[in-house]
Amino acid sequence: MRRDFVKGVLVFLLLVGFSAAFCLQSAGAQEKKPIIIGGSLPLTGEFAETAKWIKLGMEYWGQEVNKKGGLLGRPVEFKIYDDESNANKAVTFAEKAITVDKVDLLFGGYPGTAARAVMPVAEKHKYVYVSMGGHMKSFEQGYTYCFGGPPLMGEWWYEGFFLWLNSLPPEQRPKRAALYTMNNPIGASLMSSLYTWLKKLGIEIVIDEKYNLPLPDATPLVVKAKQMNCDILFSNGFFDDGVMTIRAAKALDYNPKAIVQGIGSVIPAWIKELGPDGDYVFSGTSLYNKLKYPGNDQLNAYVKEKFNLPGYPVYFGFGYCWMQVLAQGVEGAGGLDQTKIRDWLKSHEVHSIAGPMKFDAKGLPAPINFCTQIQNGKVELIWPKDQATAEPIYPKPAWKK
Amino acid sequence: MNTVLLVQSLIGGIIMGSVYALLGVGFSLTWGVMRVIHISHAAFGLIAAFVAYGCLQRWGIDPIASLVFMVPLLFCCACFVYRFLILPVTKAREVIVSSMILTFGIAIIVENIMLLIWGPDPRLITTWYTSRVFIVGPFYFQYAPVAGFVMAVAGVGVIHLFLKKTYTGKAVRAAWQQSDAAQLYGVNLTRISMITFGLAVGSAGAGGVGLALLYSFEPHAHNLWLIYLFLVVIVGGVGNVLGTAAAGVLIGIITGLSLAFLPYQWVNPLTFGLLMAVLAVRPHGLFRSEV
Amino acid sequence: MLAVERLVVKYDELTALRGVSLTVESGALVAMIGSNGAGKTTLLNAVSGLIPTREGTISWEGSLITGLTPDAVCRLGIVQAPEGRKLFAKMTVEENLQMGAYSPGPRARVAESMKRVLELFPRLAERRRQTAESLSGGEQQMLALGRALMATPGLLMLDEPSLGLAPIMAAQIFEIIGDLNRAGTTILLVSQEVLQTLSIARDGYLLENGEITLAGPSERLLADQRVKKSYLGL
Repeated sequence: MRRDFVKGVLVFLLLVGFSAAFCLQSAGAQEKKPIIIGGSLPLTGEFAETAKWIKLGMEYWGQEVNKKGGLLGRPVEFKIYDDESNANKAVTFAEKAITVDKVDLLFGGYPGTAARAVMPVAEKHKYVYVSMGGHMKSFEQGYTYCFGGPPLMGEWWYEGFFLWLNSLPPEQRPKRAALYTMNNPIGASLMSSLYTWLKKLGIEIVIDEKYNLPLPDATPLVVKAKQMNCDILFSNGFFDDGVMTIRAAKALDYNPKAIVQGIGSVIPAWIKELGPDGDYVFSGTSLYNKLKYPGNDQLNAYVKEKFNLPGYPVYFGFGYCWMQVLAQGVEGAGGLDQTKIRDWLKSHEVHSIAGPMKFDAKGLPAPINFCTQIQNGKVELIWPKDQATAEPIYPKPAWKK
Repeated sequence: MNTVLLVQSLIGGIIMGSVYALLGVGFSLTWGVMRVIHISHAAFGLIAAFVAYGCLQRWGIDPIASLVFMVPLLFCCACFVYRFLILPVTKAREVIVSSMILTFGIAIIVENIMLLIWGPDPRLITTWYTSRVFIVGPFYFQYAPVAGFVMAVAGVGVIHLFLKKTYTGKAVRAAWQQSDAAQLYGVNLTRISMITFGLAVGSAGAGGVGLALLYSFEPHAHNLWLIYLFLVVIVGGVGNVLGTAAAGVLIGIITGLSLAFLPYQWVNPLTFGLLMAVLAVRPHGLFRSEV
Repeated sequence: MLAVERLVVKYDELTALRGVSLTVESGALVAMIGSNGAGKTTLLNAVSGLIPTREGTISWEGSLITGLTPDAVCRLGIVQAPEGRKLFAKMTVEENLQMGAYSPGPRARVAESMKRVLELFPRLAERRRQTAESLSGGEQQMLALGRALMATPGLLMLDEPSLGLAPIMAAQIFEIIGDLNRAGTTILLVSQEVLQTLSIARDGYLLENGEITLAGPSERLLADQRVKKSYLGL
């Protein structure tokens, strides 16, 4: 009697289960199955702030695509893991996205350390991976499915600045350079172009020092540069050490003709926190919201409305741009076959907010070389000429006390 | 020899070391007196830095002046944390380990609260005296770091005097040296521990603001600060207030000297090499533990 | 008056006191003798509130004090000079004495008490600024006594005050204890120095294996065969 009852309940539950599954399936079949784009971002931990903007940029792209009827006529959907700013976890999640979730597309990772680690995974599983890449080395491993679209390339970082400097009459160029570089792969990636260009421009390297992060005190650096009469200061560091160096330079009244700042000056906090002291600093970028390529205005309008920002943050642009490139590959290939996407990308020019790009065998576009300078609390493009939004201010005016 | 560079480096180093010492004394006390390794110590200091930043931005209150209400506020906050979180743990068998795990959790929560309130952007305190200097001969003294230094000296001095001269301070020391006897003579261990913890966290507030006068900060910065806390406290001897201060200055001098004479990338290995050397030679710190 | 009734104390499952009862009248000097591990220190610590009790009651001046925290017990005037002195080793002699008067009542009279104690122990006056750990054994014991006196005790409980002292020193300490009692301090004295203890005490208890096995005037204890055999070696 009791057993029969249990059996009955079981059969009933099974039936309910089946019908529920059936209903769900039929409901799902009415809409097109979404294209799942997976991967990981450092949503927490050290790089959380940057990742936040990449995510917003990607999602904005997804929103726009879905509004226009989707990719290949199917809606797109992100499946984003949080790798907690840990490159090893980024690798695990990439594996998981590909093998367990069987995602349709892989999105680009951040930061360089994570992207560099994920690149071999993408290659192994033959998934197209459009990201910032690590640095030049990671594009020299013979990977064929990896693209820097655009990459964030330390090796190219100062390219624009030097091209501009090169355009100056020799007598106006600085003569003695002080190089202070953070002792990590990102700092190191800046060096080769510095050495090559400084030699080419006939600028003597008077100081060439590396420091470990955190930098305890920037005063000695500035004292030394001032004593050695260096008239150009390369501060190749992040935000914390960068602002310290600027503050020390101001306090000690050190006025080189130009201060070139690596990565620190790229984030909005530089302008917000340093105020006028952050002005006149040169830097480089491979993407910027004042670029005149199509799409930039639209992104700027969006962030203006949504976040009340004057222009999109650079990582918002990166997130958007990587998806833009990947999507053109998908549409060009006319399907989700990764190898076809790759072959299309290798053989066609893509158009993005970072300009037109044609990828070489390494998956890299031609060196991108925008030079920026902060003027009146705004980042202005000063090189190349056709993209310039302002004339460079050089030599740097004395500190306002 | 390049005297200007040397002196300038030493000034910077000593200021840095002293401010870390100010942040460190409280950490040293909670560790020494209560056997609680308070991992979230620096996180509370960081809260103070953020609040000081906010007060400066919104109402133009000087960061140092904001300590007038910040320290009592943190004190109360810490008493609350002590009563409801730390106290139960101090009854555990392995106080040090369980307190570390607990306060590690608190640090994560505090960090996330800061992320929620202030976001992950780095902050930089800019007051009227930022980047201002007074010049003595060839040497430049920046107002803001000097203010941090003065704060550190005053803060460590106040804590030292509190421990040496007041009844409550003596009870703190007594409770550490002989908790049974202290209780037998009327010291309420819970109350004294709460006061110690409160004071430690209060002083962390001062230390946090001091560091904010020197460095930029964001919600994760406390993790880095914590490393320096361990450094000054271990070198100075756990529970030793003046030892912590001396360790701060010593580390500052070493940093200053190496910045002046050595390639910069040697500075951190050298400093932490010193820590290991101290631990190997004098496991209880350079100075006798004497609270 | 201190009254302990059928007190039971256990450490985990180990029974340290099995129903101990005793009274200390106001103004009396009561001795508690017994061998090592008999439970004497446990009894004092239970009265002081340092360790929890399982059964029985402790009352002071007619009110129940079982379960009070040590600092609360101290504020009532029940002061223990613990075994092994337990001085604040890295604090000065003066600071140790000040800590004795930590409770609000004694603290109000700290200057007066300090004067009295330093008069009683001139050696301590000489060494005021030295740390406790730098004192000799006898001086440390004086400091322990002095610290207890700073608390202006209504009941002074002394745990092995002569332990580890040279005979002359020990004799001196017992003399001082006797003087203190004559001056009006109620004392519960715990010691293994049976002869000396009973010679200054009026009444005594013999504690064996967590139980009171003998109680009465000192003379009776001294005359008891068990005491003679086990504790006096006669």
